[in-house]
Amino acid sequence: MKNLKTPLQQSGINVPISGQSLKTTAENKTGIWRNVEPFYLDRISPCAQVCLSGHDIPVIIELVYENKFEEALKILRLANPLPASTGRVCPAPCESSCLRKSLGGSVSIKQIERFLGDFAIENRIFCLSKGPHRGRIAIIGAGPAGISAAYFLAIKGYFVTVFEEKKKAGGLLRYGIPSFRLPKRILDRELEIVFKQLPVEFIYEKRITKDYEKLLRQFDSVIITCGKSISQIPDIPGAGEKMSGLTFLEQINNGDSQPLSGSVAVIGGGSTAFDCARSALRLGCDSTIYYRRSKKEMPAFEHDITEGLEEGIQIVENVIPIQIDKNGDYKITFAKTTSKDRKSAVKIIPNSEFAVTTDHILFATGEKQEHLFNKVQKETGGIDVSQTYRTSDPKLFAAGDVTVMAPGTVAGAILQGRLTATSVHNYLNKTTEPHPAKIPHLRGAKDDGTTIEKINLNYFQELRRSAQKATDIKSRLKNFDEISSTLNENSVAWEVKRCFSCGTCVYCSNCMNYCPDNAISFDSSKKRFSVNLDYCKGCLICVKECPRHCMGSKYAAA
Amino acid sequence: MPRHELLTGNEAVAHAVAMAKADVIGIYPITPQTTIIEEICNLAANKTFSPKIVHVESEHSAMATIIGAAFTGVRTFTATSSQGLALMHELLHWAAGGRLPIVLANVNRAMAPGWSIWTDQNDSLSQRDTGWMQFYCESAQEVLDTIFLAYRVSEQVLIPSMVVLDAFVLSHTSEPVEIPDNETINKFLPNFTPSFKLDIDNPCSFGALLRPQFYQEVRHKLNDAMSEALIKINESDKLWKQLTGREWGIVTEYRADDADYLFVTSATTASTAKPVIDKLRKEGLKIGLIKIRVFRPFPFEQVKKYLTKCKRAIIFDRNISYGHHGIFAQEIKSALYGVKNSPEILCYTGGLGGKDITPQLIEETIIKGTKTKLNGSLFEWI
Ligand SMILES: Cc1cc2nc3c(=O)[nH]c(=O)nc-3n(C[C@H](O)[C@H](O)[C@H](O)COP(=O)(O)OP(=O)(O)OC[C@H]3O[C@@H](n4cnc5c(N)ncnc54)[C@H](O)[C@@H]3O)c2cc1C
Ligand code: SF4
Ligand code: SF4
Repeated sequence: MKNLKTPLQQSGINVPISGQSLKTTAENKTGIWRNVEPFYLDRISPCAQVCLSGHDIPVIIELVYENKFEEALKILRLANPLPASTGRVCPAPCESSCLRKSLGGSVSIKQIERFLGDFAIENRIFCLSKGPHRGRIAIIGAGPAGISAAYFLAIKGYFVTVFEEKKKAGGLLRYGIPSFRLPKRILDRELEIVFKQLPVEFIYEKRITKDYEKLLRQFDSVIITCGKSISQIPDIPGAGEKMSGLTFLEQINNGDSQPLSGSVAVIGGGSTAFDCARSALRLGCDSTIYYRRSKKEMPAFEHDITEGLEEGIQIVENVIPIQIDKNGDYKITFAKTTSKDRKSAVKIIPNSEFAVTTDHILFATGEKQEHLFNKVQKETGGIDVSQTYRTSDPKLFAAGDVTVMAPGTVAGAILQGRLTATSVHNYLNKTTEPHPAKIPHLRGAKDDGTTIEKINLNYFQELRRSAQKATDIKSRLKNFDEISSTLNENSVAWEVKRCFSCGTCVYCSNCMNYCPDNAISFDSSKKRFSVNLDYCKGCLICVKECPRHCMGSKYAAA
Repeated sequence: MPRHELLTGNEAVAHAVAMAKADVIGIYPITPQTTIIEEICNLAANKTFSPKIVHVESEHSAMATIIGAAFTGVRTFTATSSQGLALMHELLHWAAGGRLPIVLANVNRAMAPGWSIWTDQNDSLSQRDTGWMQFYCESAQEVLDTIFLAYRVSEQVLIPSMVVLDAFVLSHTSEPVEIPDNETINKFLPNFTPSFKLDIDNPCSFGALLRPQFYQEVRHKLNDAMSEALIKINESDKLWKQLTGREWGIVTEYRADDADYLFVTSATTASTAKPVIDKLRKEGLKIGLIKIRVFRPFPFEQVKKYLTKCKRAIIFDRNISYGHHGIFAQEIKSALYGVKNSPEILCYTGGLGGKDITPQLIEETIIKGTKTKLNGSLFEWI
């Protein structure tokens, strides 16, 4: 047999029989092939970007997913002490921008918030102050803005005194929004767990007017949060104060309402109009809303309109009252109008008048700020404040609907209360605590936009949004009981499972598992992935396979 | 004690794989191979052996799976046919270049298009240069025995083996088969102890970049190992004879010793030819038969030995290299180049896509082959 020896074997060198490294491949720094490189970047999710009170929603959802309700609540409270309330009344723009929408409907973020709020109430999870206690702050008005400012100052360790002209705290949550949307029992219990253990004193039935200047001397700082309390009744023949929709709601909320019969005409197109019309239905009336613009231009929230129509409210669009005559019942003369959008004035169509007879009239044509604070407030309109909620008097701050920045929502008022608390703290300590980052993003997420195109939809299947239970229409109209119920734990679990966690790394490890060069590792103590650039050859499979846009890429330096 | 069973060619493959205790089997169905993996699954379900069976989404993945497994030093198997084998092509190079003792059964099926599920050898012969050993079998018994031989030799020389059987004629036809007992198999096929393997405690990589001087070096070694394989096949065949009384040879002859004419072919065509040889001998024609059983490594010496004894060789190929002629014929001619006493050679191709190769057809071919006046070599379609 012939000599089976290769040239190298003949010269005494023996190499393996196939391409084999003698050591590990760590020798080969495949990173030198790279011209692009991946990086990790958490992005603020679309829901969090528009959240009115600034929640880090995906992080909260992740904690709920892990059944850590108390921790989720803690994070929720970093931005909002009243989740049981906002979870019921917030217009929830978060859900409108939720990217899950196209795959079974948006995540029920608001219901998750409500669930956590109720969880706090049922388990009596009190809010606590960190201390040390210092400084005394006065707050005028116990609506959402005042409550929020009081809460955020108190947990920072300030003594807070809240002056409220009404018998109880809550502002429009209590005296405006009807209890079929937010039961007073929920509001009471929520306020109790927030304030019971905090150094906050409420002084009720104390209306502050000119004496605010005295407060400025007695306290280290004063915050005005007294909302818009005056109904704007149009100046037409026959109209008057006693037709105020806001007053009507307040009477009902105070428990001194009378059954009504016949028909009610509600003038306006905002939340107040719908709450009035829906309350009147419950008192036994037929309700019709008359609005000067078209239905799609109504300032009311979507939930107001859909629920109102469900319950049987009639809507007459593009009409404006010009005269009211009383002769037993009322005769309202309307003119027809044309309208373009919310901003431009409506045009009255000449000779289009017609009359309507009705038993009752309620005006819900807007509310305005009372003129009480001469020095910082013009004759008409809100208190002038800077971006940091300061007035022209350095000791005096203002937030919520009372200001020119009137948020017009509960969650927005809560956000302003929180930001004002930081401003007051900065003023008193001469610090510049990062002013008012809107969203307390826990993982330092960047506002870098994540869109449905950036989500890898191959990883998500269609999952239907869970339905919220609501009382049937007929039974609803018999009383002022709450019409919807809180999602149960199973439905909440289902909802959090549906969340994509847009822009928020949930440690799914896809990037690491798919990396063909083993260049990605996870540091479990820091809870972070990192790319070893010695071996990353820039294929960007990791970026592509991240289901939720937590990675990006850039050209690598030569 | 051996036992006897009626088995199809495909069942014979499955039984042999089970007795060889293959550890990892990648499976993907394709007619006419499918009954092999079905039977393997049956045997595994009956606990005859306990392999890890991996269902994959293509033949490419089936081969990739067992390549990965083979690197860890376990015994592996897969089966395929035709387009499936073609899809594995890239990985066939990986298996051989990686020096992995994988065994694959290929049931010969004509390549598409036009679709055909019937036999011819173009699928396996298209993989001639991938570095695999190739064994062409003619009976279910030979198939069974060759699977054991393939594992044994592959593991000795570290080259993968392809055991080839004709579609339907062999794969789906039942014959009595003698199945050796386990003790015999243990003697013939000891547990595999790899000389290198993927080992997480001693990390190294396989298939890495090779600079030119090393690349040719490992290719040289692969080719040397092919030569060594011929010796090992021969040794193993002897041992098999001792253990079972059967031997298959590298090239098999039938009444070839004193023949003026030799009919040279492969696979089941050889068994169809035997009675024809007997008949023609009776009629006075000095004809014999040569069957090429081991096609890679190519048996130069054996081919020379038999063919220089005759006047004329009539080669029958069930395959075609387009623009040339039958592939066995090409190889035989190249083995005889410049050899003293080389015979005249006639090349015939027939039986493609399952076209029947009957005794009459063989007889006609032989008669034609003996009568044709020859000017250089001749190629004709049958
Ligand atoms: C009928 C109605 C329905 C609404 N529905 C919704 C809804 O569904 N979702 C939503 O997000 N928003 C809703 N809004 C808007 C939302 O309620 C307000 O934007 C929000 O309450 C503003 O909060 P605030 O703290 O600035 O003022 P307010 O809630 O108005 O609170 C001001 C507080 O100050 C007190 N106060 C006023 N003047 C004095 C004074 N001189 N001295 C002491 N105390 C004083 C008042 O009694 C009141 O308690 C609704 C509003 C109305 C009117
Ligand atoms: S406060 Fe409103 S916008 Fe923010 S998460 Fe809750 S429901 Fe959504
Ligand atoms: S899917 Fe989750 S993270 Fe994304 S927008 Fe919806 S709630 Fe927010």
